[in-house]
Amino acid sequence: MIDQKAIDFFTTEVILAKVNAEVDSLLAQEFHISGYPTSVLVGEDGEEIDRIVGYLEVDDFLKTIVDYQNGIGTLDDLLARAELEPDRELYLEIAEKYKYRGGSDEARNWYQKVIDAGEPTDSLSGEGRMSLADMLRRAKEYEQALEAYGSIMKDFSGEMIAQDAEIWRAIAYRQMGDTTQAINAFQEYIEHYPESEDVEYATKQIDKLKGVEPGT
Amino acid sequence: MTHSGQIPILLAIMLLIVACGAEKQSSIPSAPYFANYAEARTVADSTGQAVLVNFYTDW
Repeated sequence: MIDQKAIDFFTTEVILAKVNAEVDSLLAQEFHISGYPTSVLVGEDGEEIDRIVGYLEVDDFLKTIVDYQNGIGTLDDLLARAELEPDRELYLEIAEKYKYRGGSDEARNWYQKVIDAGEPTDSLSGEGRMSLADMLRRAKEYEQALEAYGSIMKDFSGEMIAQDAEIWRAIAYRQMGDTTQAINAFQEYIEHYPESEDVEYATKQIDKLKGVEPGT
Repeated sequence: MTHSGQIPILLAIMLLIVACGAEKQSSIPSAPYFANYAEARTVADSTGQAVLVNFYTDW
């Protein structure tokens, strides 16, 4: 699909480079790219202004870039706003931005602020706690990640976030190489959430972990 | 930080020619682009513009 707005924008306003991250993996590494597509706006000084992770409609995409160029919605902008007023949703946004840039310590600090500024079992804390648990798992700090997922399952029992935590707990066991615990955790997930769309995934994981060939 | 300078006509034509290449998976529809950051950077350095680097994979 040809979009004239995008053509005009990238002809006159901003220069566009499309980089296959599999081919230019060093550049992707340099920019701490962890998901695709990711679009990084780089200023004339070569420094990152900000980035867009994932897909946006063309109009939203172009508006976000223009906003970034005007210093709106950038990490620096959010940090300045957070100085002026305590806003947990803003803290969460800041944490996400740091996470996508590869700033793990800063991201963890801001997720923790989200939790500390509210009740440990409110929905924003739930998001913050889940993100922290995921960061621990990705950092291969499995014991801590399992503890975090376990406490989310307990504190948010009956809520969607507890369901998510339970499947990720099973995945964490699998990733740390504890096959027995992983099989048990996937089985428990299926028992607890038989209607979940992830039951098929969990069943396949159990088969794989048991060495069962597909279709047998 | 904001750049509103116009790209010279020849460069604009060159970018449009590049845009005729196959469209890759990205969040950006067909638009003129460089397939190499270093080249885009070189042009940006001469025009004072920002560069948007769109990372994608063929997965």
